[in-house]
Amino acid sequence: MNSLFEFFSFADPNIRFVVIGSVLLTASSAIVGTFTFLHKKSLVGDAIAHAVLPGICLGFILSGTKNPAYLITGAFITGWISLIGVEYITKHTRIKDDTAIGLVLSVFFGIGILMLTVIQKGGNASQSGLDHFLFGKAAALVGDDLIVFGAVAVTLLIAVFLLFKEFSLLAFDKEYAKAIGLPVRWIDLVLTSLTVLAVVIGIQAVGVVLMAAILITPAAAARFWTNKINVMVLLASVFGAFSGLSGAYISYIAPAMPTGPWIVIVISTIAFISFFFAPKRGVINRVLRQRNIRRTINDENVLKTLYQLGEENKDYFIQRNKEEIIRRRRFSPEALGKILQRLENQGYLDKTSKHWVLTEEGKARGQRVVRIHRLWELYLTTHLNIAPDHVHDDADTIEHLLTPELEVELERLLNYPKVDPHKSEIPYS
Amino acid sequence: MNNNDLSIIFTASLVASSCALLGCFLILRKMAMVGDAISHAVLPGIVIAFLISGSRDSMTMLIGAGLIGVLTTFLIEFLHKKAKLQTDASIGVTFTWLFAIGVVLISLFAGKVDLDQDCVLYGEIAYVPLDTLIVGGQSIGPRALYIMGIILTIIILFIWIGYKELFLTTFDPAYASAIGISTTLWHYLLMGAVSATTVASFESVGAILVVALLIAPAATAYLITDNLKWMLVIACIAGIVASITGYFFAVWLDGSIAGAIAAMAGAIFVLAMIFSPTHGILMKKISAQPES
Amino acid sequence: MDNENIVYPALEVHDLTVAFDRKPVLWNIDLTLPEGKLVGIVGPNGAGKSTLIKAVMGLLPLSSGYVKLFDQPINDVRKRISYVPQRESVDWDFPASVLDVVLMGRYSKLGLFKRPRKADYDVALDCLKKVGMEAYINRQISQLSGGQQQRTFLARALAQQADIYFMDEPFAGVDAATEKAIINLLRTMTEAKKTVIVVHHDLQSVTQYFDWLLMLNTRLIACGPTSTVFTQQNLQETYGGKLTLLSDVGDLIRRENFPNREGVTRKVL
Repeated sequence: MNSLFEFFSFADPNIRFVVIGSVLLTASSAIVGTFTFLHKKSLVGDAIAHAVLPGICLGFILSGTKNPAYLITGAFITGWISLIGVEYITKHTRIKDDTAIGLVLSVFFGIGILMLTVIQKGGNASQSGLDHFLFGKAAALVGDDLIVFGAVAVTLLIAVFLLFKEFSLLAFDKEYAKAIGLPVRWIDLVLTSLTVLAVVIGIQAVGVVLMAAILITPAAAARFWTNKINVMVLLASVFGAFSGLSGAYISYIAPAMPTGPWIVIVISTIAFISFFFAPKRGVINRVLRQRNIRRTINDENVLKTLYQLGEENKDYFIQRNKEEIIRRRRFSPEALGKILQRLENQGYLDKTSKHWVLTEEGKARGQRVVRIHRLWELYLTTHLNIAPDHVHDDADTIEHLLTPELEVELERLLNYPKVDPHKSEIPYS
Repeated sequence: MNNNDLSIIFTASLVASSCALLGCFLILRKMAMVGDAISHAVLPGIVIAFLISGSRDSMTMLIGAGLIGVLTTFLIEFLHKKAKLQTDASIGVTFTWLFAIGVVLISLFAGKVDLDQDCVLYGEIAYVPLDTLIVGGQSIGPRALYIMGIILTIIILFIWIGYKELFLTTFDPAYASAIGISTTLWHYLLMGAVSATTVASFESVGAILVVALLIAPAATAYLITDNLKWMLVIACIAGIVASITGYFFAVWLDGSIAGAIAAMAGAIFVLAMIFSPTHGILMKKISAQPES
Repeated sequence: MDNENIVYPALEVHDLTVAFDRKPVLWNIDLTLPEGKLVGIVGPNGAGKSTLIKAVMGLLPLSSGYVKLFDQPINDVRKRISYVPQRESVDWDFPASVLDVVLMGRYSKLGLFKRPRKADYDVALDCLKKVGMEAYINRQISQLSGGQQQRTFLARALAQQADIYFMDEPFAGVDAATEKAIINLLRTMTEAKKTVIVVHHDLQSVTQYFDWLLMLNTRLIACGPTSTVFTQQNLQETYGGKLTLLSDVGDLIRRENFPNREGVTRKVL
C-alpha cells in the first residue's frame, strides 16, 4: 500500500518520467491501433511488431550504441520491409495473406532472435537491456530515451488529428473515398507508416511479442461501448493509457517483472469486461434482453388468452382463475403465477382472491396482440401465398414484435380487413 | 560432427517434420494465423501443468496444454460469433492475452518453474542432448528425441487414417457436410494435433520457431507442387533442410539455433518463391515473355 | 398453388424459415417435389435460392420447419444425396488433380480407414467420360477453365451415384456447348428416375430445360410443372420488387434479437 502511495504521489522525478512515458506510448499506440483495427489489419500489426526486432538489433550492431534514434530507425526500416514482403508474396504468388503474414512474422522474428543472441554472446557491455524489447520494460524509460520516444508519440498524435476525417472515411468505405477523389493510396501509406511508428515506440513499454495487443485490444474493447469513431478513439486511448499506467506501476514495485505481459493482462481484462458487460453490444446484455423478450412474450400470451376467453363470452371483464387460462392455453402453473403477478404489478390485471380480471389497459394490449396475429396471418396468405393452415406459428411470433408504425403499415396494406383467413374477426379499438 | 550435433539436428528435424505436415493443412484451410495463435496460447497451459505435476515429461502436460489449444479456437470463435468481433481481432486479442498470462505466471513462479522468458520464445534446443532418458539406470539418449518421435508417429498415423476426410473437409467443407462428413470434428482433431505438437516442440524450439516451422515449409511446398501428397513430403524435406542448415548457421554465428532455423526456413521459402519450376516468379516471367 | 397430389415426394419442405443473424432470408417455405424431375429454382439475386438448397441439405440451421427427403429425415438419407456447390465456393489453387476431386464422390461410400479401390477408380473414370473430361484426368485443378471446373464438379456428383442432386448454378461461367452437354446429361439422369434440382439464372432457357419450376423471392411464389407456373403473373411477382413490409419486419427481428419462433429458446451463450 505504501508503495502505491509513493508511486502515485509522483514525488520521485524518475517515476514521473516513467509514468508520462508509458502513458504516452500506450495511448498513442492505441489511437493509431484503432484505425489499424477498423481497417481490419490487426494481424498485420502483429507482423510488424515481430518484424521490428531484427531492425533494432541491426541498429545496435551498426551504431554500436543503444541510442534510441538508431534503434528506432532500424526498427522502422525492417517494419516496413516486412509489410512490403507480405504484400509482395500475396501479389506475386498464390499464397494467401494469412499465410504470408504468419510467414513473414515468424521468419523476421527468428532472424531477430538470431541477431540478438549473437549480440549477447559478443559480450558488448552496452548490449544489456536490448532484450527489454522482447517483453518491454517501462522502467527503462528515462532521460534521453523519453525525449525521443515522446517526440515520436506526439508526431503520431498530430498526424492522426490532422488526417482523422480521411482515416475514418477509408475505414468505412474505401471505394467511396476513391470515387470522391481522395488519394487513397497515399492515405493508406501514411496510416501504415503510422502503424509501424506506433509499434516502434510501443515496444519500449510492451515488447515486440505482445505489441499487437496494445494496438488491437483497446480498440476492440472501445468498439463495444460506442458506434461513434471519435468516441471510440478517445476510449481506446484512455484504455491504453490506463494499462500503460499500471504497467509503469508494476515496473516500479517489481523491477524484475517484464511490463509487457502485465500491460496486456490489464488491457485484456478491460476488453473482456467490455465484451461481457458493455451496454447494448455486450454479451450479458444480449442474454438479459433475450430474457426480457421471453417475458414480454409470456406476458402478452396471457393477456391474449384472457382476451380470447373474453371474445367467447363477448365480455372481457369476467373474473378468471388459473385453471380457465390453462385450459385455453398451456402454461406451467408456477410460471403462470409469476406472470399473473407481474401483470398485476404493471396494472394490466386486477386480482380478487383467486381470480384475475383484465383492466382497460390489459384488454387493449391483449386486443392488440390478437389483432396483429390475425392481420399477419392474413398478410401471409394474401402476400406470400402461404396456405391458411400454415400461418399460425409465424403469427404467434410476429404478434409480439411489430412496432406501431409497422402495424399501421400492415393495416393500410391489407386495407383494414374485417376477418382473418380463418374467418375470425379482427378487432380494432 | 559429434553425437550432440546429431541429436540436436535429429530432434529439430522431427519437430520440423511434425509441424510441416500439420502446417500444410493449416495454410490450405487459411488458418495459418490460428496456428500462430495456438502456439502462443498453450503457454499458460504448459506453466500450469508444470506447477501441478512438477515435471516436464508428464502426459498431463501434453493433454492439458492440448486442451487449452482447442479452447483457444473455441474462444476465437466465441468472440467472433457471440461478441461479434472481427476474426483477425479476435485472434489477436485471444492469443496475446493467454501468452501474457503465461509469461506472468513464469515470472511469478520463477523459482518453481524450470522455464524462463527467453526459453519460451526461442527454446533450448542446445540443451537437448543434456536431458537424457534413463531406463533401468542406463541412458538411452535425449528425452526430447523420444517425445518428438512419438509425436511425429502419431501425426503421420492421424494423416494416414484421416487423409480422405482431411483432404475433403479442407478443399470443400460444404460438400463434405452434404455427404455427411463432420467438418467440425475434423477441425477440432486438427487443432488438437496442432496444440499437442506445439506443446511437445515448445521446450526445444520455443513459440516463434513453432510458428515458423508450421508455416514456412508448408508455404514452400505449396509453391512447388500441385499434389497434396507431394506437398506433405516436400514440406517435410524443406523443414529438415532448414533444421540442418540452420543448425550449422547457428554454430557458425554462435547464436540461437531456433532463430537460425527459422531464418533458414525463410530463406528456403524465398528460393522456392523465385526458382520454383511451377509457381516461381522467375518461371512466370520467362513464360510470360513470348506472349508480350 | 399447384398442389398436385405427389404420391412419392422426393423432397418435402414444411414451414421452412431460415435466418442469417436472425433476419429471415426465407419465410415459411412449403413445397413438395416429385421424383425423377429436372427442377429449376429461379428468382432474383438475394432471393435465397442457394440458401434454400443448403438448408434442405442441412448445411444451415433452420429457424423453423422441417425437411424430408424420400419421406425420411436428411441424416438418414445422406448417402442418397449429392451436391454441386457454386464453383467459386472452393479454392481452385488447391493442390489436387481432376481425378482426386472426382474420387471425393466415392468417399461417402468408403467410410473411414478405407482407400479408394479399383472399382471406385472405374466409376470415377466413367463419370469423367460422361462429362467429356477423360482427357484431363491428371490435370491439376488450378489449370482448368471455368467450364472444365464445373464439369469436374459434375463428375464428382455423378460418381456418388445418388438419387437426388442439388446443383448451385452449374451453368455459371460455362460456354453454350458445355451447357447443352450438361443439360443432356441431366436429362438422362432424370430418365433414370433421379431427381435433379438446379439453381438457375437464365430465364430464357427455363421452359426448354426444366420439367418443374420453383420460383422464389424470400418467400415461395410458385412451385409446379413449368408449363403451368411459368406465367407472366408469377414472373411479375418473383422479380417485381420485394415486399417492403416483410423485409422491414425481418430487420426488426435482427435488431431486437427476436427469436424466429416463439417456442424456440435459442441459446445465447
